[in-house]
Amino acid sequence: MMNREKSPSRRTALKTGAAGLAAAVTPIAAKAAIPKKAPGETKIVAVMGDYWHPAASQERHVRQILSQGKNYTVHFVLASRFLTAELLSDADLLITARYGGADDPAWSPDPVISERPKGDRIWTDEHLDAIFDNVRNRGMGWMSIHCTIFSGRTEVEDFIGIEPILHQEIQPVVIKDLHPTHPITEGIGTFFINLDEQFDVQIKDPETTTVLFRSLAVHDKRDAVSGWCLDRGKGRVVGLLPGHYQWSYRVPEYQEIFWRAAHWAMQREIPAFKAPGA
Amino acid sequence: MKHHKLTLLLLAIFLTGAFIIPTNLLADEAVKIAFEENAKRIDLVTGRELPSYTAAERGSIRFHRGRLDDPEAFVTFFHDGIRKSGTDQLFSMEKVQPRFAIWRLRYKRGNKNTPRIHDLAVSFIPITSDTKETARRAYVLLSDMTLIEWGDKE
Repeated sequence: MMNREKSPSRRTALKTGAAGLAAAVTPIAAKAAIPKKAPGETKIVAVMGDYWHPAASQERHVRQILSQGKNYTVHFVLASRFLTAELLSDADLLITARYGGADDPAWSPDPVISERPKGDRIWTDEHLDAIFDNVRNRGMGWMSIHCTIFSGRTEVEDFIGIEPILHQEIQPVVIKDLHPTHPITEGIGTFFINLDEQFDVQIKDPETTTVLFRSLAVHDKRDAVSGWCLDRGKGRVVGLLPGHYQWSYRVPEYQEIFWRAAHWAMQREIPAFKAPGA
Repeated sequence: MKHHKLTLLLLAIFLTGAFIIPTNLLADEAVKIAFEENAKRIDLVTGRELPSYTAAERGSIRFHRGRLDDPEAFVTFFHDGIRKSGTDQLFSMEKVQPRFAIWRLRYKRGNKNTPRIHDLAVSFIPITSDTKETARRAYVLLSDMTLIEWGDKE
């Protein structure tokens, strides 16, 4: 009897064509399907979520926020091996919310698994080279969200312009002191996030970095930098620290900051935002 | 007689060296420490003010969460829960946000973290800056200090 797991039948291959055959044979074939940007499209690549940070809700809310853009496509990377120089080579914006841990849960092309495969490493040298090159030399925007500051790579910290400081226990956080004139925060007042990990950062170069907003942890009373932005070569970087749970991405004020930050990082005019709701 | 004098001279040199070499080695192998500029540096056992020591005997650093008679060779902190790091794994720890007891832990293997430290006191065998000799174990509030640097040495 034929091993159907590994060898698709001739009929199946003919029905689905070469792409179907490749996809059925090996997961690495997914590399062949790396999405290229269509004319007029805004290509956004996102790498978000892990054991600590719910990928499902992050993806849902980031799609809700950014889908308002005309011809905006958000490509979520499901395994870090697919975060390649080729994928980023025509991307307008990269969104990351990943600390230094491996992909967890690890991606599998199989619909049913008895054992979860080992997760890919993220923040490899190849990842860093591709990201830095596309930001610095091509002008790709980069939104560094939440735990990205704990990538564990000094090169990332230097590039996004901060020294990371760990959060304390998860608690309510007040977002305050929003920059009154910066396009990302102008006109947005103090607001409240139900539960979050309040990271903090030390800005490496205050001369070239703009602090967008600060936060106050309700239990600790720690006052922390929670949003900043800077230029890097031809590109722009925005750091936003809220985002541990889905609560953060459901807050209309934070959704609007996210929307505006994406456009600022892409060096676009910022269209009016309509909060999509939870 | 002349030979006897030479023997005594060599013996004197040897004995002097025997004392000098270990104290120099002690200083070379020491753990670097630093106090807050305005710290009171009160020894928690004797109540006396301590000199502003800058070195401690390697292997002597102990942390105290609540009791001075229960020393621990690891630092305790909050990350995703309560965690510990042995002093043998640490390159250094430097104070970042005193109000929140947040220190930057740098590990010998190159990674780092900035958690809230749960230990309240630290004790060590100081090395005096003038004679390079050890003094009696000192117990101080961790908040009195700004740096403990073990370096790469085991």
